Amino acid sequence: MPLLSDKDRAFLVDHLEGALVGAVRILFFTQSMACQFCKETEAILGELADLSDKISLSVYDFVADKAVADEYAVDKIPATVVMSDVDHGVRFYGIPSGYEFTSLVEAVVDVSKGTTDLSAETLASLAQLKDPIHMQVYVTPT
Amino acid sequence: MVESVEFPHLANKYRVQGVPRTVINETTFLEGAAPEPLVAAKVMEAAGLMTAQEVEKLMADLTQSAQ
Repeated sequence: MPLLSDKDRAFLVDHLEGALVGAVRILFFTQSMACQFCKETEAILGELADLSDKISLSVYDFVADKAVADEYAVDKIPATVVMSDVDHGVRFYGIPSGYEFTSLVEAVVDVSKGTTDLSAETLASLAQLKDPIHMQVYVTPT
Repeated sequence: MVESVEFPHLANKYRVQGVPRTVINETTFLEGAAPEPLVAAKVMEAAGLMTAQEVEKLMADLTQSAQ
């Protein structure tokens, strides 16, 4: 049984067709045992990838594909990497359910456009940064 | 995004109670949804390019202009 309703699916297909520019790669790191929401997350990502030809999904085993996990600095699962042909450092750790699904869709759009809606003031501030910034947003499922 | 229920040891480490809680470079924190200028200011604070006092002033100014 699909997770997205027909109505939501139709809305998203439309939204993404208008919004997506470049191809988006979703890399999903999972394992078959001892992972609370790995199966559900993979199902959500599968439905997301189905919404547009510009979105592709690759599924990796956290253990068997450790080299790939290390390449993307993935240290816990389920882990979702959203990237173009460039890794922008966007990671979703855990199930992107409820409101976080919207965040995931908008991350896909931003990565696809290669631009954001950040203000000129914000961009000017961020241009001063010299060292890496690690941002973690802790959420709970909705 | 880090989903707290699946990673309780991390939620504990960063003392996550209310969500969203944003952790920037391990020791700078932002509670709740925040307007863009405040998020940017917190990033600058974490980078040592803005002081905590300057960020608090910005927060106060934003709150006042929102009223």
